[in-house]
Amino acid sequence: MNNLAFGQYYHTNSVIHRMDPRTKILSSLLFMIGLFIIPKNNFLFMGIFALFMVITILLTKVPLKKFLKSIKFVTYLLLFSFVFQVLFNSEGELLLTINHNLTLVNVGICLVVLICLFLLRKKIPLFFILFLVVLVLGVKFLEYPVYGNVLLNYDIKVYTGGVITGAFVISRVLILIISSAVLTLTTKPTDLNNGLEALLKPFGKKTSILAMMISIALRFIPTLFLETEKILKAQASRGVDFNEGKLKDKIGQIVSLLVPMFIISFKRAADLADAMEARGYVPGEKRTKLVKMNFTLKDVIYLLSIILIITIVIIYRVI
Amino acid sequence: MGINFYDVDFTYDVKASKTLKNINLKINKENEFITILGHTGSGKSTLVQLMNALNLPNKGVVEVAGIKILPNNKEMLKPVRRHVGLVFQFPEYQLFEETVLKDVMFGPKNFDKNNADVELSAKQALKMVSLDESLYERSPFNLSGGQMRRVAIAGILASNPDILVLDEPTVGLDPKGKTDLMEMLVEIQKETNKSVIIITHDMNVVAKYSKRCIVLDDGKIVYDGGKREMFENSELLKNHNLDLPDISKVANSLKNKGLITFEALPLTKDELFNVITRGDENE
Amino acid sequence: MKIEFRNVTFYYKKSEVVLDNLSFTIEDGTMTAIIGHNGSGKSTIAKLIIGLLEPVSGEIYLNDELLTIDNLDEMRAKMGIIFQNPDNQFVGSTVKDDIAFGLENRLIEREEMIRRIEKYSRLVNMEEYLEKNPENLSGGQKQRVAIAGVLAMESDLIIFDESTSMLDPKGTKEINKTIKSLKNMNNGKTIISITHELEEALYADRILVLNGGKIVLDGSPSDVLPKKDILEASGLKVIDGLSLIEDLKKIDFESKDVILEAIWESIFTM
Repeated sequence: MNNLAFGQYYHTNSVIHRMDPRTKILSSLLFMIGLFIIPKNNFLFMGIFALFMVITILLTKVPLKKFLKSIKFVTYLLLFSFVFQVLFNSEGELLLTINHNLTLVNVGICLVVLICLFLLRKKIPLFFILFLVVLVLGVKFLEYPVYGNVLLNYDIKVYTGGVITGAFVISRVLILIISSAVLTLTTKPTDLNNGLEALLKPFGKKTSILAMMISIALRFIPTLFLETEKILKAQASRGVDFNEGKLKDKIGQIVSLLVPMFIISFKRAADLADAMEARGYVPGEKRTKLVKMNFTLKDVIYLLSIILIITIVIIYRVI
Repeated sequence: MGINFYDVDFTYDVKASKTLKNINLKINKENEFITILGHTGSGKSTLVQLMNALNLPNKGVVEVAGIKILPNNKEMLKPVRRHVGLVFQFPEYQLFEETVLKDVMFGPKNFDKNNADVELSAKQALKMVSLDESLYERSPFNLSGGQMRRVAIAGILASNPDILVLDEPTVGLDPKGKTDLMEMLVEIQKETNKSVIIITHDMNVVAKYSKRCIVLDDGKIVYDGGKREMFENSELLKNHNLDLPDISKVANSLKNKGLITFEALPLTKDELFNVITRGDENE
Repeated sequence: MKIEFRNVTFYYKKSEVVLDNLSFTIEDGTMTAIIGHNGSGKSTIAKLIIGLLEPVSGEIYLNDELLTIDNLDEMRAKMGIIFQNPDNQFVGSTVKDDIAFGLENRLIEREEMIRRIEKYSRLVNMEEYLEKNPENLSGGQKQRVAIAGVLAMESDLIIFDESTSMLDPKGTKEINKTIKSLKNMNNGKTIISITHELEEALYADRILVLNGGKIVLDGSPSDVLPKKDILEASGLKVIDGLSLIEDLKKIDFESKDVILEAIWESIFTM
């Protein structure tokens, strides 16, 4: 159940944890903007960003696993965008040509292998790596016209531009996803609330409500995940099997999950609103703060180093 | 048939310490009225979720109605869940349909799509939990807490399981609601001969209704037997933080004051009543 | 805090009256238990006092002052409530943050906040958990944090609204112990405990039994608890020990009075 709630606050009391939440919010924002203004295919800058991220992650002392968890959800997306670039980008030099001779037999074999893989996907450890190997072998295999008439013959031309851009796109998305976890892993929801509130202050008095909403939402994510799991089990006890059934059954199954979730969440929200009101919370009103935000030397250094990197990128682009 | 555990280990997280250790257990298909005891975190809920394959063992075998549930075996789970019906603590986790009747029909429909008698079995189940017929067409969310719990139990009973398992069915109910629900379960057990397993913290419930007690502590079964032997084993109670029923406490305090004597510890009001009045006859 | 209900009626739908022309006074510095079955309207009383609901008719006086929408916030500063569900009232991301939440709303200075957090977390025996987040706490511990949060406001009135009904026996014991020690401190705080467990009402100064939106019994525990008929008619179950006394009263046996007295005593010391 815990593996669902990725990016939840993880306590280590590192330098990054002790940093001012405002610094962390601002630097996360700047870092992401920076990632997108790196000139295309410039691996030097990408490397600098990656290095910066790695140093930050090491400083947090949070297990690397916590950061990598979120990648799981985008592996196939990344693979797809890479293949897409390789196939359709014809910039640069010709790297290699793959001549495919499709026959009924070799296409058939490939399909059977793919289907077997798909069916066994949950029983194989490190499935993704196996999948990659099979993919490469499959592409090679289709070159040989195994038995029978060649139905289709075509060339796949791979250019350096495609490979480079593909790698560039992948590394950008990877860095983006991994680094986005830094903020929530190292900042308590309450601190995040304080930081956001302080940063949003210039935009109006009521922005503190938004900050409170975000922090409450973060606070309740683990609770809601636990709840979802209980509902799943309760419905499974009534014979719901999420792995089978036609589309029509599937919809019914999802409804049986969503309705209790909504009902429980609304009840929870109403209770929480009562509790907050009873404890004197008035949305948008002035509040004192237990945590004093301390903008110290480490914040200055961290923020300056990001600004420095981005400035160099901008100067490079302008020139 | 029933449920058999053979050397079962279970843990949620491979690296975490085991949640359940070396569980061996035999539960009959008929005529059991078992209470599972133990403080929060002792593994009670985890244990009952192994009984209907919501949790799969890491080691060992759970056998339900002849179906063997092995580690990582994800087939044949549905028939298991039909044999063992598990009612969760809060009805809010499962109620979702527009009407009470439809909600109770949901389970049997899932288990047997071709069954034309779903409505009939739903109505039978609702009758078993003595829910008034006028409520059948109401939204399950417009019921009182006690009624919602009955609908949730009916939702499991409708699939006609051999064994009915309930995770803390009386929590949050008022005292009368508690008694009514327990009496209802006893009634269902007597009428249908189904085995009933209840997780509870309430020693008064145990004293009144239980035929067999299973005590869990730190993932291990530390006691499996009759309630009387359990309540008289003060060492066991002390070691595993178990309480006595209120009446037994009264009895002990009277005994300590030298007002009454007894061989067998009175567990219920009537037993203590007899002890007090019999003491009179003897003299 | 003195609380007075004058002819208070409350309902959501006119056909289902929750509180029916209810009048009672709770004296300053006392502990009152309000008991009744689920749906008897007991929690509504708490929500009316704290101003989360408004009476349909009738008035509520707090310290002889009429509770209105204008003085609600000022009145609320003098009272605190602990609700039923420990999860649904834990606002902060750590114990410390949560105790501070109310103080922050009341514009208490930081140094004072730190002092009170330390003082009241110790009072509920949670001083070692200040940095913990709610996922790592038991239900009983979360409720103790909620109590510390209310105490930290240094309010005159504390309401326990079925605060133990979702806890295991260990948590229930912890909370009851805390309530008892609060009462025994005799610091002039008014305590209202709303519950459906008669056992939890035993140590109150006074018990109000609610049924159908009306008060059906009102008196000290030793007055109220033996009234088996009315309690049962109100959907409450009489404590086993008490109903044993009732049964024994009907017959004669040796040293009857001594034994009845001893049972009565053991109920209160359980």
